[in-house]
Order: sequence, then C-alpha cells, then structure tokens
Amino acid sequence: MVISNNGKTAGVELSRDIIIRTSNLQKTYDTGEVKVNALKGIDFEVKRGEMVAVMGPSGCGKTTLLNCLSGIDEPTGGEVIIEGKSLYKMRDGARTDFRANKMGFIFQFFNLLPVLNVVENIELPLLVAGMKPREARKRALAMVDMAGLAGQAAKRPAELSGGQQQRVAIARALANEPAIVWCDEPTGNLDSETQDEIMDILCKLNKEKGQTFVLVTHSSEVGARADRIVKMRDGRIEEHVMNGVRGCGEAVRTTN
Amino acid sequence: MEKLFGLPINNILYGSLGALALGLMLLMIVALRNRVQFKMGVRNITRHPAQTSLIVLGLMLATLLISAALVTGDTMSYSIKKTALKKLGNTDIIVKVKGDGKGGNVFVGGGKAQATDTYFSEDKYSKIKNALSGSKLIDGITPIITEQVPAVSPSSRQNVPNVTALGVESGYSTAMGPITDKDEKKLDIGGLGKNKVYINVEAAEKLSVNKGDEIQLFYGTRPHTVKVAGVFKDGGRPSSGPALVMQISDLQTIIGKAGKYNEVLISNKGDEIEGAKLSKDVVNKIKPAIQGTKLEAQTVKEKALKDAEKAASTFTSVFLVFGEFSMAAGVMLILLIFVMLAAERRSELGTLRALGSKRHDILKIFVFEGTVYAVLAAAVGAVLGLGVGWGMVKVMAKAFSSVDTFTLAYHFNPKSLVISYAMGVVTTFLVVFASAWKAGRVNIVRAIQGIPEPKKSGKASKSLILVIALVILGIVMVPAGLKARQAALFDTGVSFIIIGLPLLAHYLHLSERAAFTIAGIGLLVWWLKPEGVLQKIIPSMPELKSGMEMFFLSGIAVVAGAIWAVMYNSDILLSVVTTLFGRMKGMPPMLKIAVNYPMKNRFRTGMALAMFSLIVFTMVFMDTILPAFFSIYNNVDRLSGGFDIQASTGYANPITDISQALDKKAKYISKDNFKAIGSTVMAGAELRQKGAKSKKWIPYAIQGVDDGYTKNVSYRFVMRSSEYNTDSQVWRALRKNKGYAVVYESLVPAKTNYNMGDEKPNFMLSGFYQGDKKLPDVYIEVKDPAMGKISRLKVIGVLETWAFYTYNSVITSQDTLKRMVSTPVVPTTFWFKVKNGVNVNKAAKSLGKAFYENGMNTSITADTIHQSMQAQMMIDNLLQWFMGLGLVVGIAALGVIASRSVVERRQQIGMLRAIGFRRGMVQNTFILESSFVAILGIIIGSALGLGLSYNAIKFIAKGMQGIEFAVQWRSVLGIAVLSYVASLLTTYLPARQASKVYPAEALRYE
Repeated sequence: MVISNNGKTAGVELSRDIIIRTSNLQKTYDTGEVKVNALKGIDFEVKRGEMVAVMGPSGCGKTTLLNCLSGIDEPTGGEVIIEGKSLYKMRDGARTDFRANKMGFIFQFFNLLPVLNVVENIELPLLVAGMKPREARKRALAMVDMAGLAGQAAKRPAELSGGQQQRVAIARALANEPAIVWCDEPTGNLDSETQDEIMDILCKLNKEKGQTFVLVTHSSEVGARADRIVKMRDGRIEEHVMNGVRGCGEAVRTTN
Repeated sequence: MEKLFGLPINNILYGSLGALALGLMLLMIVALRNRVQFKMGVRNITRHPAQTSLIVLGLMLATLLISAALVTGDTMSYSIKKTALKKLGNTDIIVKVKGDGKGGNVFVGGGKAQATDTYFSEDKYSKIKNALSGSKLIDGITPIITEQVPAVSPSSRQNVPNVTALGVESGYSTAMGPITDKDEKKLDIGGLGKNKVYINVEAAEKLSVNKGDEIQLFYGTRPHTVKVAGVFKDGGRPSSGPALVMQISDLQTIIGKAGKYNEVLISNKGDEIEGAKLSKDVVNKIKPAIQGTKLEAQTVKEKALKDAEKAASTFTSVFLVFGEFSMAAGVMLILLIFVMLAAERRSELGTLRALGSKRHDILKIFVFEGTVYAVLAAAVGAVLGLGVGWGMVKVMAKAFSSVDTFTLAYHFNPKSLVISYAMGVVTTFLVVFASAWKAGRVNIVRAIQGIPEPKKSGKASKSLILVIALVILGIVMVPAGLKARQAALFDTGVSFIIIGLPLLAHYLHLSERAAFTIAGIGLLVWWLKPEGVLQKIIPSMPELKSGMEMFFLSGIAVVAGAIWAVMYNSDILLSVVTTLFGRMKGMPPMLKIAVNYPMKNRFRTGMALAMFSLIVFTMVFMDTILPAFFSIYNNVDRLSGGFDIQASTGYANPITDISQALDKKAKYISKDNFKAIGSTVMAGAELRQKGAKSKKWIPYAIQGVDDGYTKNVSYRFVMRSSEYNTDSQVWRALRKNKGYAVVYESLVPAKTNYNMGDEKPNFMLSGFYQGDKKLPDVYIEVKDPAMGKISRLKVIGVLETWAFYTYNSVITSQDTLKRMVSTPVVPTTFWFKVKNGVNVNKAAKSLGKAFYENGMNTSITADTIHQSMQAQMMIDNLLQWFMGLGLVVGIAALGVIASRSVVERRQQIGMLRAIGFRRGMVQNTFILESSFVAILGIIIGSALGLGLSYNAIKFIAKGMQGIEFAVQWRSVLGIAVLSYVASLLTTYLPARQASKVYPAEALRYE
C-alpha cells in the first residue's frame, strides 16, 4: 500500500485485500446555530486482517470516523465501502443486518446489559443474527473460556471487574466471528496492567483469526500494538504511522 | 351529604382542610426561609411542561376517585331530599293514630299495615292547635283527611286504582302552601264547591279528564261522582302519584266520617329544610295534648331528610370502599412517579450535594416541587371527578328509571369538592415527602457518575427492629382478634406473623429470596385457604365476625403475597417464558431483554405489577361474585314463591273473600284460570323477643297469610324448628297451628356484615345467628297497639334471602293474626298462580278491570323481579366500572415505567442497535417488556380474583343456598383483553421513541 500526503490513498487498485474503503467522507453536525465539520473529506483504506489504531486529540473526529465506518452514524457526504458494499446505499434495516453479521463492537464503557449475565450478554449478538438458542449458548460458553472467564458465565456485569467486563465485551464482539471489530477506546476505562491484558487478547485474536480491527484510542501503548496508526487532527487524517514489528513500538513513519 | 363512614362531613371537611392549611403554611414558612431551594424546586415544573402534564395526570387519579364517589353521594342525597320535599312540601310533622301505616321497613309485597281506626275527632285537633297557639315555632297547622280511593272516568272509561284523596279545610293553602295550576295560578280551595275537586296533572292524564269532566270515586261499593274544577301542577301535599283535593266536609261525607280527621299537618317556621330542625321542640309542645290518646306526632320531614342522608352516605361509602383498591393503586403510582423522578434527577442531585447542598436541602427541593404538582393535580382530579360522577349518575338514573316517584338529578356540594381536593393534596404530599426523603440519600460520586447504588444487604438494624415490631404486633393482634371475634384483627395479626417470621429468619441465616418466598406463599395459603378448614384443624376455633373490610384486606394480602413470590422467583418464570416462546423466529433476543429487565428491577416492576394485579383482581372478583347472585334471579319461582300475579287493593273498598268476589266477576275473568290463590294482610303491632335483653316494644307490622297462600307458596327456609324436616311441613304447621310464625332471614343477626346498602329491620331477633345449624326456641311477644293485649308467637322457620316478597317480614296465619290484633284482618294483597297455558299479562289486566272499584293494582311478579334485577345489575356494573377506573392507574404506571426506561437505557439501546437490533426489534422489545408485566399482572389478578371469589361464594352459599361458583370466562377474557390493549396504547409511544434512538448519539453519552 502506498500512503500519500494529506492522508489520501492514491494509486491503489481496490483489491480483495481491502476490506474498508472510504472516499471523501464528511460529517457535519448541525445544531441549528453552529455547524461543526467533524470529518472533512476522509479517504482511507484498511486491509483485511489489519489492526489499525486511530489516534488524535479529543474532538479531532476519531469516534465520528469509527461511527461512520461502522454504519451507526450517517455521514453527510462521501462513501463507505465495506467488503465491496456501499454501506450508506443500504436501507437502515439492511445496514443493521449487515452490522449484525459482519461487525463486532467494543466500547470504552463496555456497554454490557446489566440485567443479563456473562453468557447471556455474549450470546445476544448470536441470537440477533438468527442462531438457534441452544447453539448460541454453546458458542457463547466457548467464548467465555476463550476470553479467560471460565467459571464466571453466570455472573452479572456488576459482579465483575472492569477488565473482566471488557473481556465479556470482547467475547460478545467476536462471538459471531465478524469480519471487522470496531473498538472505541477499548482500554480507556482500564488500568495499565489490564490494558495490556486486553490488548494481548485483541492482538492474539487478530493474529489467529485474521479479523480486521479498527481501534480508536488515546493511548500510545495501545497504538503501538497496532499494525498502523492513523493520526487525526481537525477532522482530517494527518499522518499514517506503520508499526514495523507489532508490539515492539518500532514504526515506519510517513508524514506530510 | 351530612355524614360519611359515620363521621360528620363537616368534621371531615375541617379536618382535611386543617391538614391542608397546616401543611401549606409550614411549607410557606420553609419556602420563605429557603428561597433558593424553593426556586430550584419550582423551576423544574416550568422547565419540562410535557413531563409536568404527565405527572399531574398521574397524580390526580386518586383525587378523581374520591371526588367521583362524593359527588355520587351528593346526587343521591339531593335527589332523595327533593323527592321527599316534593311529597311533603311544607309539612314537617304529621299527627296521626299510632301504628297507622307503620310497617317497619317491610317490602311492598305485604302492603300497608292497617291500623285500628285511623280517625280521630275534631276536639283532639283543637287541643293540638291550642297547644301550639301563639307558638313562634310553627307557621301553619291544619287538619286533613287522606285516603287512597279508586277513581274512574265515566267519559274516558279510564280508571286509576289508587288516587290519594285529600280532604282539606279552606285554611290549608295558608298553612301548607298554595295549590297552583300549570300557569302558576293559585287555585282557591275555599271557593271549591260541593262535590268539586282539583286533581293533579298525573291523575288527569291517567284518567284522561280535564276541567269540567266528572269522575267517580269508590269508597265502599257505591261510586261518588265529583266534578273536576281544575287541574293542579303543584301543591296538594302530602301526596305522591295521582292525587285530588276536595273540601274536607265532602270527603267526610263520602267516607262517612263526619266531624273526623285522620291527620293533622304542622308546618314549622323556616323554609322546607330548615323548618325540620324545630320538629323536636314542636313535638314537645304537642305532647301534653296527645298524651293518653291513640295519637302520635311523627316528625316526617326530619325522618325523610335523615333517610336521604343515610342513603347518600351508604352510596358514597360503597363507592369509596370499592374504590379503595384503585386509590391504593393511585397512591402507589404517586410513589412510583416520584421515585422515577428522583432517579432521573440523580446526577443533578449528586452535583448539588457535591456543591454543598445538604440532604435536607435536597428533600426541600423535592418537596417544593412535589407540592406544586400535588396542588395542581388535586385540582384537576377534583374537577374531573365531577365529570366522572356525572357519568355515573347518568347510568344510575337509568337504573332508577323504573321508579316513577324518584328522579335522580345530578348535584354536587362544594364541600365535597373541597374535601376531595384537600384529601388529594394531603395524600400526594405525604407520598411525595416519603419519596423525597429517599431521594436525598444518594452517594454523591455514584450519583454524578451515574453508577447504580450498591445493593443494600437488607440487614440494617433499623429494619430488624421493624420486623421484630411486626411479629410482636401480630402476636398481640391474634388473641385480641379471637377475643373480640373479629376476623379482620385476627387475620391481620396472623399475616404479620407470616411476613415477620421468615424475615426474622433472614437476619439469622435464611436467604432473602427464601424469606420473601415463604412470606408470599404463606400469605397466599392463609388468605386462600378453603372455607371452614381452620375449624376442621382446630375444632375449638370460634367463628369470627367479618365485614366489607375483609374484602380490602384479603385483596391487599393476596396481591402482596403473589407479587413477592413471583418477583423473588423470577428465574423460574424466565425459564418458563423462554421455553414457551424462545423458539419463535426472531423472539429470543427480544424476549431475553424484555423479560430480564422488569424482573431485575424489582421495585418498579413490583409496584406496577401490584397496581395492575390489584385492579384486575377486583374486577374479576366482582365479575364472578355478581353473576353468582344474579343467577338466582333467573329462578323466578324461587323469588316469587311460585305466584305469578300480585294484586293489591286499598282499604277504601276491600275484598274480604277473593274466591267469592271472583265468582261475581266471572264475566271479566274466570276463577278457572288460576291454579292457586292466596292472600296476605299487614297489621300494625308492637313486638319484642321473649327473653331478649331489650324489653322495649318495637312498632312493627305482622303479615297474616291465608290457607291458600301457605298451601301453595314455595318459599324455602334456611332454618327450621327441629320437629320439621321439610319446608312444606313448616308452612303446614303455620297453617294448622295458632301461635306460630316464620321470619325473613334479615331479622336474624349475621356474623358477617357484607351488607353495604340494605337497612337493618327495626325489629331484630337475638340469641342465635344466620347459618346456625339449629333454630333454637324463639318466641316473639306481640302487643296489640290499640288494646294492649299481649300474645306470643313461636318462630318455627327462617325464610331464605331469596324469598323476595317476604322481605323483612314476620309472617303468621291470618287466623292467628285475628286473635292478636283488634284491627279487622282484611286481606289487601292477593297472590295468583295461573294454570298452564293462561296468559299472565291478560289475566293480570282482567283482574284489574274486574276489581277496579276495589282499587286493585296488579303486577306480574316475574316483571317486578326482572326490573329489580335490572336496576341492581346496572348499579353493580357501575360499581365494577368504577373499580375499573383504577385500571387507568395501572396503565399509567406502565407508561411511566416505559418512558423512564427509554431515557435510562438510551446508551444500551445504542449498543443494541450497533450489534444488530433493527428499529422494529427495539420497539418490540419495549412493547414485549410492558406486555410481560401487564400479562403477568392480568394472570396474577385473575387467578387471585377467581380464588378469592371461589372462597367467598362457598362462604356465602352456607347462608344462601343456590349460589354457585362459575367462572365468567367471557367477561374475564374481556377484562384481560381490555387491560392489555389499554396497556399497549400507553407503551406504544415510548417504545416508538426508543426505536428512534440514534445509535451513535446514544453511545456518545458515556
């Protein structure tokens, strides 16, 4: 992949390797009195199986980019193509189904349903995707073990630590084996030790299962674990940083 | 209305107003000293107008119910008074012969009791007049003659069997008010010539006559022709129905009572109502003049007004008692609304606390806000209650439409409006205060961060003290209840122990779930135990007295028990629901959330369930009990005693032997049409029970029945003397033996008092109870009011409640009656059983035609019973719907919870949308969630309603044979569907709102 100035991707033929592509992605928040251009024409590609960290100061448009890429926030302009399908040409229902089948989400505040226990939280997306309850339960229990939560399946989120809750969220996000996992500050609410644990799990899954991860983070440690860091400022991509050896912090830097 | 639940309405008014004024005054002082908190509290009201409107609507329901019940009472009071005043006019006191018409409160079937000689001489009137001469207490006194006479118009050939003929003096108008025609023109009585009469509009219409026409009056066998000199619209009192006025001398001539009167009318000073207050003083003045004579002074106006008050109070009490569940639900709704409001403001309150506000400041802010809501809501509720009351009166008016002499006119007393308003504000304020107290107790950090409060261990020492107090209270109440023979005290005590002991065990080692489950199931078992099971287990257990309060207590207890048992075992319920519906396509994820959320939010779901279950419970209970009673009405023979036609005649021209009389009237109707003919007569007497504590003689009418009646009547007995094995043996004994009597069931005291409307008879027996296995030897002493002769009657049977036409009667044979009273025992009511194939209507009409000169009035028993049932059913249905108003409360609760859930779960909705929940799925999840609570409430309420009504019917059936438990599936289903659909309507909007939550925005709120 060739990385150009101004964050623009140029000269790249859309190959089977590219899972996410945006062109001139724009998002303007209009409150009636004030217009805020959160995304000012983003062109961006992610390869299948790549782990990309989006970083930048608060308010630069990281989460907005993630939301527009994942189809939970409608952009005001431009296009998002996921697995060759234009996300915003789909109707809301089809887009929702697409999300249910192709994507997983991990949030900073875990967003687990407090009234469901661990295994029920994990099996929820499986049930949404139409899996039979018995099968869903079997798969969810396997995910519980995968997330290192053996013996905690019947506990409710309130009975777990922050790290454990995020493990549940990871298990939930990966339960239906999505092609892409969107992570919004996945370690933002965790201490550094737990942050490392969580990142270990994400890196391992990324490596073993070849799933694509797009992470929004403030943490340079988290960014360092990704294949690539996309730095944003004022609604634009400012810089792409390729990490040479994942996890060791070395980087191949391309700047304007 | 002057009294409610036995308390003077003014006391209730001043009490509730005092509480309101005190509360508001205190609040004003606190507000003045805490202006910042006041402003902060009040500003919330204007900040969210939509929310304010919803809160006000929710809070007003309890007030609305109180207001509607009070206005119904006001209407009854006003209408009965109006009817009484229409009949009595200015007459406050009537002096007449003792025992005249004093039938106690015996049903019309018996007719009016006959007195010895109802006439007295002119000199007696003069003595009374002299006693009052110069008195400033009265403004009029006049003698009259009043007689019921049959009237016939020779020209129109129409007849009216019971025209009230008033013979009045020329001074009548001055004393008792003018008689006026339709143009309000006064008709001159003094100028009324010989054999000329004024007739009222009703008589003129019924006879189809007008001024100048002739009519014939029958007294004895000879007709007396009089001429109509005018038709009057108003005046001519006391009378009701068709009436005529003539010179007293004319009437004296017709009836052969020259120089005699049968009534003296006295009008007290003051208007129609105020004058009645002087009655006691006036009677005291008359007393010396009538002492030693057979005359007595009856304070008719005072009694009529008191009766009106009593009826109004009864009606209001009935509606308030049956509305208790709705009001309880209303209070729960108020609590729920404020707890939700506190939850919504949690972060704001946490910030305030962080900025230095103390707990009591938070309390004040909430109380100020809540008080404004309470003041607004109670006003809306009180006014809307007037509207609901108006609707109820319209339905009741239909129920009373068959009663010609009574018209229900909507009316409300401003006092009722003030009472319902004050009570509404005070109730709401108290609940607001309790929830505000809780609102101030937040953990500052958790509140600001929106983290839930940690679960309390539930083992605080304060709670332990409460639980111990509950058990001790229960232990005290149980023996107290047994001693006082009061079921309410006893059962409440047992319930406290049932709740207290498991909770006490919880403080030792029992889990919370086990403690509440045991307490809940314990309550259900105790209150739903089969009738009589306790006596079987503990034979020495005495029978306890119970009343309407048991309905409320049992309802609250079983609903609380069921809710605890369900809420603490929700996992079982969850697995049942998941198993049942989990296989439906697309259902599992929605179901999982829809069932888990309410089951994990115990407080709010428990409250909503309790409200819903309570209301459905009351509706199903009533829906099962009432048809059980009404099913008896289908058995006309059982209620009519087997007779098809009831015919009554006046005293003016009685029929001494109906059989002979029929022979003479063969051209109108043949005796062969009838399978059986019986007759009855009422005679005034004074009664007391031999050996009873009270030695007082009670004026009461005895009904004398002839052989034709006793041979053919099919009325059943609930108690018989031990020597008789069958009902017919009792009737035979009454016929064959002198000195025997049977009584209606209401004369025997009951251990229970579920009676909300019917008045107790003036004369009651004692020493045994309804439902006792044996009828002991009971004797009634009978005193002839004229001669003072005392005789004795042995009670050999107690008639069942369904003996419709013997209501409140003491019945003996006519032969026995003749020996006991000096009054001529001449039958005035006749009973006919027609042969198969004979048209009852035609037979009744022919009888009326044949005996018109005797003033015979006929009615078909089946029609009378049917009309009575219709009216009763209408009132009962109204009562049921009044109770159903509470459903609005339950539905509102579901709406409030759903709205709140959408706000609370915004972020979770965003997450659900992100992981693949379509909009429709989010909406359906919310609808399913409310449906789950509503359906659970409907199931719990219906099951409890059926269970408790089964026990109640078994209990009632002990005393009322023939009542059977039958589930009204169609109605129960109707109630269920109605409740569910209504709950869907309130949930739909919040659910739709939830589906429109934009995921990215929702997830942004961390």
